[in-house]
Amino acid sequence: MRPGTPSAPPRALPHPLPRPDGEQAHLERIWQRPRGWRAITVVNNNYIGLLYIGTALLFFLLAGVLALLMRAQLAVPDNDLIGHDLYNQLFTMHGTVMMFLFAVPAVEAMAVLLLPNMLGARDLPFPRLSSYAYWAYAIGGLVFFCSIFVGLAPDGGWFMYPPLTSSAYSPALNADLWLLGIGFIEISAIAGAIELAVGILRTRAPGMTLDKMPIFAWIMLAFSGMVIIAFPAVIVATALLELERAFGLPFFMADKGGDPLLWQHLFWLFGHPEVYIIFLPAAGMVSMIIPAMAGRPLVGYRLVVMAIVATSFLSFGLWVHHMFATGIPQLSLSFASAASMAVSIPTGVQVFAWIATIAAAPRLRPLKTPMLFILGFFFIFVLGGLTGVMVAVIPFDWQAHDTYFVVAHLHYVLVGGMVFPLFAAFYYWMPFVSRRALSERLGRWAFWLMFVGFNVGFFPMHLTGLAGMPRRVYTYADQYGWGLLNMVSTVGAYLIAAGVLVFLIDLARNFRPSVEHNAGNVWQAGTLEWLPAGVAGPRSVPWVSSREPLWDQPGLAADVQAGRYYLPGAPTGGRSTLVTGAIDARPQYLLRLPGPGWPPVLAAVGTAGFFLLLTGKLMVPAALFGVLAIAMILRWLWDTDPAPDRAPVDVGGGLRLPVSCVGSASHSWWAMVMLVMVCASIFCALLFAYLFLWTTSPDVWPAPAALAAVPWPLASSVLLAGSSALAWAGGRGLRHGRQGCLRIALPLGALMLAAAVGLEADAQWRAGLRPQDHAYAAAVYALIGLQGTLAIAVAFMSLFTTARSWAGKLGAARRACLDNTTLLWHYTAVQGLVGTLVLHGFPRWTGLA
Amino acid sequence: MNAPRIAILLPWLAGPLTWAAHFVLVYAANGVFCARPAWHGLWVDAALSAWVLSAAAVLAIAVIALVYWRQRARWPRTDDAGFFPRVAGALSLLAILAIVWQTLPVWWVPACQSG
Repeated sequence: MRPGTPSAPPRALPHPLPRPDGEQAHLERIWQRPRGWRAITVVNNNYIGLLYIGTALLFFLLAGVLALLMRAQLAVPDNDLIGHDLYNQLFTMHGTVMMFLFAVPAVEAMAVLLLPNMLGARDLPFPRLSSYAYWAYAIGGLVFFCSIFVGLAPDGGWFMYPPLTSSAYSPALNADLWLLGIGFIEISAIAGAIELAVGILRTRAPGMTLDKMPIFAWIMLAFSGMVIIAFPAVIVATALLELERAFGLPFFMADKGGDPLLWQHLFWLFGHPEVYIIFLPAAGMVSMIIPAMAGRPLVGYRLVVMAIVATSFLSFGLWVHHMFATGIPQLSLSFASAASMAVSIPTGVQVFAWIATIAAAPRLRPLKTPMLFILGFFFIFVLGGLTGVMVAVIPFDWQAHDTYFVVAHLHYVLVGGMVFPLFAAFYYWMPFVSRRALSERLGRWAFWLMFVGFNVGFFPMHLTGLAGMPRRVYTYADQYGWGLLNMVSTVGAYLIAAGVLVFLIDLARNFRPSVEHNAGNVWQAGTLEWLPAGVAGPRSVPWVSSREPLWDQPGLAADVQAGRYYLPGAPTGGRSTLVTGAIDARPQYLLRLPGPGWPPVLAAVGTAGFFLLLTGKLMVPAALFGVLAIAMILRWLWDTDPAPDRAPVDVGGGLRLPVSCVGSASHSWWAMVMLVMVCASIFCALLFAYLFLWTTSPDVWPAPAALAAVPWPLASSVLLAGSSALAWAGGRGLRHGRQGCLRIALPLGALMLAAAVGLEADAQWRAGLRPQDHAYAAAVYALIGLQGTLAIAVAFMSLFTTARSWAGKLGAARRACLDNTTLLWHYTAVQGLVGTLVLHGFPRWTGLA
Repeated sequence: MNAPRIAILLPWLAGPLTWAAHFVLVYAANGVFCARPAWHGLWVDAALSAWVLSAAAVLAIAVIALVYWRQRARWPRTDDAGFFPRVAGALSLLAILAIVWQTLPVWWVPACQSG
């Protein structure tokens, strides 16, 4: 018996037939999207997913147009079509938009659209968070893009290295727009990642144990973990550079003990995992499409899972390979070089698993369009991987550094590794969201134009690079002899554009969005998203006993559609989905889900407005938008954690599930744990900055005698520990029904937390430290600032929790709000204690050493 | 039988987690020692770098092997009985390979010479 096949036949189906009259209509009515002008308040994953993908595709087209403009400029030597100022903005926006506004959102969008159905859930666990993340991204991204029309687009390259982007060399708003705009779009990506991770771990269909989880879900779980750990590094980097530009904190100014290399470390600590954050989901799509096209399960499922997990870890060890030419010690470079080569093993495992699956395919011909794009992906990505091994060899990298060879390599990896699989996914999953599949004939045209165009466009860039042409030049002299190669590249770029145009025509002709009346399982695939579905997802939630349930569980589709499995109706009278165990997928409780509403949309408008107006230093309007965002988030949260006033409900087969959950089993607690991981990652990135600056500029570190006297940090530590103890006591009081205890403990504890931050800042100030003096002072105040930010967040949450207590919305069995608040609270106290130890212990220790 | 808890993923991920800890430690150690002229002689001239970094690799490999051995009878039971142990084994092997691979240069690449 091959692994993953049913070990035992499913038990008797949970529900008898016929189902009661009106049950299905009731279910559909509850999940129906709002009509008219309220349509934008929709929260269903299928609609938000489609909007998300459409917006990401729009950014792909816009960034593609920028690329065409650049290629037009470079087609002939000494061209004066575009000046260097605009060209700088073009390549910066092309890279930034492709990476931040297309690639990451596109893969998150595919997951938002596909995962609930693939896992047998009705929706993701936090639908309003999906809506918020989407609208923040769409509004912020579009305004960000429009900056190019007024000459305000960033122009420092997509990786924005200081000192070029410091205020000395980039005094205009262009760089600020990147720093604030991208920083906040990252927050939207993190929100999406937390939602996906909780959804994958907690809302799988009963029976879908981890060993039966679709590869795409495994990949999105790894993706979410990587986003949670990696994205905080770039958030810290952007915050530090903005602090330097706006307030003169010299993190990157060498004459004040700062170091521009700090930016490169922080940026690439995010930037290299980012490559895999983009590639892995695309690889996941390939791992779903190939078995469907081949008509057999993926070869080496276990090894592919191993490869995914290993890649997600190893990818963090590669950041230094973007810094081979920066003077880092050779042995340190060798560590990154070794990791760069090691990561090719799990990637190779995936490629061989795909090849083996294709080789063992009982059905493959005629090749369908998704398969063509996958074969194109193989060819292009493997070539990109080979040049990747070349640039992982340090001496070769020094030769190719900053030349068009690197441009060729990164496009072979990213376009091959992400864009081709994404187009395969568009063709493959179109029947899932459209009344009609896309055209095979037009699909072939699109593929061949894109494939040939890509290779004609980018292969010559290897040669242009080896001939010495540097990146980011807006023109070149005829005598260098790069003219012919550049002209060929330009022709290739326009061929790609023609291919994309054919795809758009195909979309216009055949894409008729509908989740209720989709074209269905035209590929005879085996995974759950191909079950018959409506606005509420599958009619009933199946018990899964195989990795390809539609292949291995006869009659599954008919039984699900007839409502014979779990949750065929709406037992709570509202939207709901099953929450199951993370490992064994046994049903635990029924999660009541919210319907459409304005707060997430308005909160997104407020957040985007706040950050964008802040860029223009329009403080009052920015503050008003900030207030709108906070007010709407509070409004949205006020309705969460409903009263546990319902008895357990029957979801089928005699299985009665509670409709609420408290403590560590709650899905919201899991999300909070992930948020704490994000906070810890931000703190670690900032600690790294502090320690890195010490290694490069120890002369600005103070002597032990110049530090604040020991009683100050001791007092601060006592306040932190006391604050945490009060939060604990408040929670304990609530367990025993003592609301009064909680109403005193939480505000008092929040006050102590804030006082600890104030005391720390005051002690540093009294010791004569000013943030603009040097890098040490800047790093100290940055750590205090982070602690202050968290203390403010905890203060808000404690007041909100106290308000819920006064409003009668908090109790021993209705305490998710308190549990989440205290979790962040304890973390903040621990972070404060570690920070205090570092700020007062480290300089003393190094001063003595 | 009690439901398996999410904490089971920690020993399952012991290989890559140990690799990550090892990577951070050796990268930080080499960076800090090379940045401090006072320690430079000890680290480079006395070849302390090679011995310390090799010892770190041996320790990391021992941790991976120990966790895998202690965990061998404790994996959750699933339909695919080999899923947890085999994937954990493959992850551990790959992590060991990566650790060995990145330790080899300590014997022939200069520790602190600028790249």
